[in-house]
Amino acid sequence: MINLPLRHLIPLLFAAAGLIIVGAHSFYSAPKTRDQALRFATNQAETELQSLQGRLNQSLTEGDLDLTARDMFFSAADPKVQAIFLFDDTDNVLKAHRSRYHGRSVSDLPFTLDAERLKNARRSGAIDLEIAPSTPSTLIGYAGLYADSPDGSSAKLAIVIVWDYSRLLHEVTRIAAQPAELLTTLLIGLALLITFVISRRLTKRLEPIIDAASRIGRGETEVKTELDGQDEFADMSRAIDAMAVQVDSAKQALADALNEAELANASKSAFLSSISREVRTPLSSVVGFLDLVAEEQLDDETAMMVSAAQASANALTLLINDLLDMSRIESGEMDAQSQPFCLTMAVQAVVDATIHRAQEKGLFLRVRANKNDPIWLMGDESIVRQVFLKLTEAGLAVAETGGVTLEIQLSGQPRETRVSLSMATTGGGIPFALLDQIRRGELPASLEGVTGWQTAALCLTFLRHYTAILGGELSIVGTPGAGLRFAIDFQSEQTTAMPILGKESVSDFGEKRLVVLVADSSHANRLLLSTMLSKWHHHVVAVNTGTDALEELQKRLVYGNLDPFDLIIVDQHLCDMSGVELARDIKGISDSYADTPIIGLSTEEHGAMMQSDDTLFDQILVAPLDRVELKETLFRLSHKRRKESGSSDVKSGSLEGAL
Amino acid sequence: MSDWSSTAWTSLVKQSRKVLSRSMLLLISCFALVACDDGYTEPPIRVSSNKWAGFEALYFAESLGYFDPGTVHLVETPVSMGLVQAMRGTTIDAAAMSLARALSFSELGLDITIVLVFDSSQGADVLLARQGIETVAGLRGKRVGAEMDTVNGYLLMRALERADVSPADLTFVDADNEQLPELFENGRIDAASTFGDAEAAVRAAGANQLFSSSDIPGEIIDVLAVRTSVLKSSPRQVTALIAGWIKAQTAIDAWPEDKALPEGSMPEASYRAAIERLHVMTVAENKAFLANDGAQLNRLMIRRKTLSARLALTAADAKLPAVSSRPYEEALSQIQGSRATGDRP
Repeated sequence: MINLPLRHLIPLLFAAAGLIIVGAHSFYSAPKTRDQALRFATNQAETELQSLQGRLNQSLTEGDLDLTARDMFFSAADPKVQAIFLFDDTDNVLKAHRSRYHGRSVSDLPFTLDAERLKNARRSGAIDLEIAPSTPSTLIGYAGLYADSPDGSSAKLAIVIVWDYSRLLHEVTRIAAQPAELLTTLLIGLALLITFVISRRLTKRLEPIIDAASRIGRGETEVKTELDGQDEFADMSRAIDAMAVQVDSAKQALADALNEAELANASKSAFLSSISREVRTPLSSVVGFLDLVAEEQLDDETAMMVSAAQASANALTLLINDLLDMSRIESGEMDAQSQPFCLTMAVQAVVDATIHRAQEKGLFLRVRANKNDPIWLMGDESIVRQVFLKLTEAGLAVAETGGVTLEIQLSGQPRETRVSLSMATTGGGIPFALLDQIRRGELPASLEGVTGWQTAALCLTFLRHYTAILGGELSIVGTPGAGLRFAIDFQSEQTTAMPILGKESVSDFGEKRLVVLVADSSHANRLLLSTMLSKWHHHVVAVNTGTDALEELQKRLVYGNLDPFDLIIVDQHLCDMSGVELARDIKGISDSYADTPIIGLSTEEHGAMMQSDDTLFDQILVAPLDRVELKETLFRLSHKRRKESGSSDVKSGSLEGAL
Repeated sequence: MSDWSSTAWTSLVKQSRKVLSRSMLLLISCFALVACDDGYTEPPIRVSSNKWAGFEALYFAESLGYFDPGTVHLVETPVSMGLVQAMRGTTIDAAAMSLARALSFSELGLDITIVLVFDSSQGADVLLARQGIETVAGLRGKRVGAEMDTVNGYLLMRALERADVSPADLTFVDADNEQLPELFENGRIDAASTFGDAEAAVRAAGANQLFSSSDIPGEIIDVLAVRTSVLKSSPRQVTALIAGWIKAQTAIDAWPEDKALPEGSMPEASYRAAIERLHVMTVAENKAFLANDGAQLNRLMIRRKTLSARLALTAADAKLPAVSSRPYEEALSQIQGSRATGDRP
């Protein structure tokens, strides 16, 4: 049933009432009225016939046929009279309303007359009326006549009149129907008027309420309907206003709570970030010095202890990296860069960093790829490397037997390549409940007999964020007894191989002695860099402020006996200025320093230094310093300067050859 | 419910509401129209006509169903008698009559209007005399019978006028047309101005013709006179009456010789014989008669009145009937609205 609005329903109900009235009239009142009218007509016809009978008896007795014809003429003039016949004693027409019927017999007339009734009327002189069988509105009257002659004889004649009362009956019925029709019209008119009035009132009263409700629905809370009156609409208005106030309070409380939570979270992130950076700087020195110590000739016991210290320091570095990543993810600062990188090298680096953990658990760690050549992609190498790292950590955490397989699958065209990075463990398996929990992103509580799931869940948290940043999809498949599989699919673009240094090239670099300016506010870092660079036979000038650094550079311009700097290494944070400001100032001192390579040292991969003008820094290295990376960078940048001045011996090669 | 079916349902509901609104307006309009109709339909116009070939087309129209339903109630006048009484009262609204009778009705004070000219007599009205009276001038000193206030009286007066015979030179016997044969046979009159069945009877009694309406073409005409009040109150019915007559006359003109005529007031043979001595008025002639407030008709009526005044049959200042061309023009428009009409009705 259609839910009709009042403006339709009310007229419809009134119209239905009107139709019922009209129907009642048509099926009850009208037939009754018609019957009454017909009865009245019959009486009237009888009276008329009687009157004519009397007049004709008189004129016929007088033998005045002209008078008879005149009387018949006047009767025939009545529009109700269809026909009038004067029959002689043999039932032939003596006079009629049309002279063409004169002399015709009763059966030779275009009107169906009852011959028996005619005879009876003529014989008895009585009056007899009948309703024509075929047309109920037609009356036929028969009347006997006596024409007494002066000689005492008497002729028996008869007069017949046919009346058509259809017009009269129609008019009477119509007139009787009028009140019902008028009432129905008035009802419908009244209904429309009521509808109009109600509709206007409803619209006027409801509009502010509907508007207010809509505005509250859209989130607005400063809503006031303020309808006057004591009716239901005024009650509804007050309720809506009260609801708006309540919603406003709740919204404000929610906003306050959200603000508070965001502030708390921001504080936490800032604290984590700050602590991580603070920890990273000394950790960088620890890792660096441990690496230096490890290069020395050590007895086995010391070498073992140094190795253990290196492993712990690396683990601590990873932890700090995670903390920094998490704080960046939460603050929304982590974006994917788009630069060419070698996917094969990235996975290999992760394998190198984690293989010893696999070995400790007695697990294998394999890498599979559906492409033999090194894979070069456009994208963010650090995020991809983190993806591999988290996949590996998760796999190693949950695998108990067998091992972990990392797989790289590339499909599609080079310009639109679908990259699938996955990790699969063998054996073990995962309980269904736990899998659901992990899928929902919940950190599972420690389960008895199930180890490493919390680590896996934590890795999964990271993976979810990395997947989102890469614009990919993460899938988790786990079958009890059949291991666990995480896979990340994302879209990328294959690119051509970039030049990679070979070991020989780096070795060649050792023959060139560089003059390097190191500006770092951390004493430990200055010492580490000075030691490392000195060991590689470079001359190092280390300063702890930006001002000192600029002074050293000015000196080189003034005093010709001082060797110019081949390379400058600048820390992110100096005591008196930032690394970016110093780099900008260096470029501004003189055109001589416009081409001097500057290496930036950062404690965070996506910090201000990374986001600075591309032309300021030739390379940015992230703490803790990787000796090999630093060595490669020094070689590349110094080589670049040499190449620009005329010669080149850079080779292209594979990852295996490079390291 | 799916989105699609939900949308379709909403659309259907909106459409239904639109249909409902329109139905409601239609319903109230219907009821208002029906309720405003008081159920009263105008009564038909009651038209009297005697048995005469010139008026026979009225009966043909009735038989052929050419009158709009409920507009015309035709009453056959048995004889001329009673017509004045019927017209004076409210029994009859209109009557087919000679121009002479229309004039006499007007003189009697009946407010009538002539709206149609049926025909003109071309030998249908005659002046007959006994053997031995060969000319109109021969009527001097004789007794001449005629229905003096009718066309026959006019014919007699015109015959005397032509023959330069003074009315004072003969004796007038004013009698009904139907009585003339008996008076002639009884020798109570020597000549009779008569028409129709009476004319045949007088001829059969050995009379010869001295003068006829063909000697004064266009002067003896038959018209349709309507009570002026009825013309005002029921113009639609008057128009329907004239339109029916025009349609019937057109049909009869084109009626095949070998096909029986529709039922009229008189036997077919009598009609065919009588119509030969009549000229049925064309559309152009009717227009000419009725144009300019009936100027042409008025001239005829004035001549008739002058002649009657000489005999002191009528007052010199007697009122003439009014003439209206509007019903005839409306009837023509009505007919032309449905089909093209020729010049000849």
